[in-house]
Amino acid sequence: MQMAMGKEKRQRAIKKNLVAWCFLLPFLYFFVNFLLYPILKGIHLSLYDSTLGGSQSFARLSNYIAMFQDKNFWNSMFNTLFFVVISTPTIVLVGFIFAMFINSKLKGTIFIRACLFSPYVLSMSVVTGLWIFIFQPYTGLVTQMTAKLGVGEMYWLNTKWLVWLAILITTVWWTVGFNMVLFLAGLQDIPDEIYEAARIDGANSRQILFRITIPMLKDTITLVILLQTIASFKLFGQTYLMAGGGPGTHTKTIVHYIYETGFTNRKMGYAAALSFAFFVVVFLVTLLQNKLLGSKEE
Amino acid sequence: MRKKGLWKKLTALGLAASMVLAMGACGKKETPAETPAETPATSEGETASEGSEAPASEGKTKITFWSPFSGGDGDIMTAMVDEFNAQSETTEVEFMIFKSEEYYTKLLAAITSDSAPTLAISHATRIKEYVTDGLLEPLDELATTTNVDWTEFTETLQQVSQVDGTHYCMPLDTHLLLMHFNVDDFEKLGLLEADGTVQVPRGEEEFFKFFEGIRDQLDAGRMPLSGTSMNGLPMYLWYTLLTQYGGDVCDADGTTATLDTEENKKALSVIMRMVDEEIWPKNQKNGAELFTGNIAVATINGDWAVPTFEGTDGLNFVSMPFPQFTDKDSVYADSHTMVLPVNKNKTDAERASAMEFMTWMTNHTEMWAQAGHIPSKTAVIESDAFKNLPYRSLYAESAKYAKTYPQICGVAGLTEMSYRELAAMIAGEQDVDTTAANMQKEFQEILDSYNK
Repeated sequence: MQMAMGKEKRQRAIKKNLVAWCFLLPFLYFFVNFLLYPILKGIHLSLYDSTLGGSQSFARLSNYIAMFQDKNFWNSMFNTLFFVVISTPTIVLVGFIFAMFINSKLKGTIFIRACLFSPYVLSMSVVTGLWIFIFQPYTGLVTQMTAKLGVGEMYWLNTKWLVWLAILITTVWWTVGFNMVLFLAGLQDIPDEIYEAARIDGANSRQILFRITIPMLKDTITLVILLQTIASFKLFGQTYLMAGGGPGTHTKTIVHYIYETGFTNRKMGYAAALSFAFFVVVFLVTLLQNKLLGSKEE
Repeated sequence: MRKKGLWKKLTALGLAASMVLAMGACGKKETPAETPAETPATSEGETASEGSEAPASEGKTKITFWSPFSGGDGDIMTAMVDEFNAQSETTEVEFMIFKSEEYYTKLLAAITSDSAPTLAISHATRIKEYVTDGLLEPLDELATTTNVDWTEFTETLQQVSQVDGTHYCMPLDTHLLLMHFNVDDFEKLGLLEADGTVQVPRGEEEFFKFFEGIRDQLDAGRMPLSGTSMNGLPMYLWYTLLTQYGGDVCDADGTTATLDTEENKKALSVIMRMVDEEIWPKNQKNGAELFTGNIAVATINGDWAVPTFEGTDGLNFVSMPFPQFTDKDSVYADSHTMVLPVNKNKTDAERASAMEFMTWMTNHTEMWAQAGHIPSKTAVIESDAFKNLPYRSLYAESAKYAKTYPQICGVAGLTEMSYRELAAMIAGEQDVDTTAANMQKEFQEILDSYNK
């Protein structure tokens, strides 16, 4: 009797698993073929001295050794980390403030929400094209405004550090809408009763924000920070199109350097090694972040 | 339970982080006005692939043809392919256009996976590198079938189309750097010649005297010369000056960089004099726009900008050869050529069709000249069809002293390096000596990586 029951249970479990696998398979097929395989292939390639369209020979770890001595690698890694540090808090904070504003249910917020989100649907080249138009010297909008104030030409896109500000503004404008929507979804999940109870208990709006809203948004905040960090690490288009990685190599990011190494100079093996190193850095940073943000939960 | 949660989290993290690798290089580069391969006006060049419109008839050999031409260049090339398809009884060409910034990457990837097109466009300066890696088919034997006479091409192109005595490409054009002038402004300045041209006197001091005079007469907010201060244009200007002052990027056998030299420092300091004297004010983002928008009275740009200027309402301009600073005539140039990439699956019938097409194209480059470029064959340059196009015959003669990069591997790296170093110098981030030293060091590394 007991054995028969056990068998039935197992059969049911297999059937359940089978259904799950059927749903998983289409995704797994693409995941394995177009993500997992290329990644493994990339790691494999990083051990070779390989030219795109040319010769290939096993090189052991020489790509990695060269990488640690490569000034350009460290420079572009620094630039990337710099952007992560300045952009992640800014975009998360601005996204949160926008979401709070829209969630306040004032008149006209639907229109404002659409305005704030719409840049996100534009493509990279349109966004950068627009902001180049705004920041460019001689004829740009910013120049014409500062000229009226008596400030001379500032060359936003050609001056060290100022160029980062221009890129940060562009990136915030472009991507903040996405974070805003995530925060908004999180805010709307917080039941009104909690706010009501808090107000009855005499909590002021500051207390409500720090004791209710932010703790209840914990998971959303963790997610947004994680996604934003990864997005910031991948910075390429804005710096490449708006400043060409310049002045000099001041805004050359690691993805830019990988692209240049692999596709301009055709050193695929070295580019693969750089990519893997980049992967490790992002992985470690996300792990660390998850640990820091996750531990407060308990 | 706790452990399972952690495992799940780690997996999720792993997946998220792995996306970084998979989605790494996905940026798009906007078309700068100084990229010769395409028309400046398009800022968002979606990957357009256009099949030729002629109906496929039976018995024709189908071949594929890839190019990086978008905008106006793409339209003209499409029209040429259509014309060929309508005339040819044996060949049907399927024409594909790619975004220029990803074109060479796509082409290389296709060649390595045996899915290369029958024929493709390549800049002449890239040929050597591809031939060295065995990526292109030699053309000499095939060319005898259509009686190609290589001496019909201009002298420069005869040289750049072969590597070690073997032909690997058929050139369509010479494209080079010019100077364009606003006719209305130069008339007011009293510097317009009777024949409607502008003649900048030969010589360095003469050049500066000419343009300083213009600068002093202009209203505030206007400038003598425009030209984008990053990407291609500084490099075209630099190589023009470097070769006018008798220098070059490397020695004859392409192993030693020659950029930390007096000639290079001279060329770089002339550029900086133009910048510092505000003849060519620094950090310009779009030189063509400053010219069409009446901010600059003259502009440095290639022949490929001519169609854009022609299409600008109310702009009266004239395009002239780039001024000469020394007794040695020279100007930066390159050539769009047609090549046969290696592909195991290619048949002899396809090869024959490709040769038929290339021969037809090089004989009909007066159509291609609408894009501003100078035809590859002397006979076409001298034809009425070409001479009747406006402006072109004013600058066609500079093709005689056009100077391309020497035949070396690593031109793509050299290009990227000089974009970066020149832009940094013009922005005031580094001086002439540092720039020359950096260029020498970085270009030597590039050369070494190919000459191991």
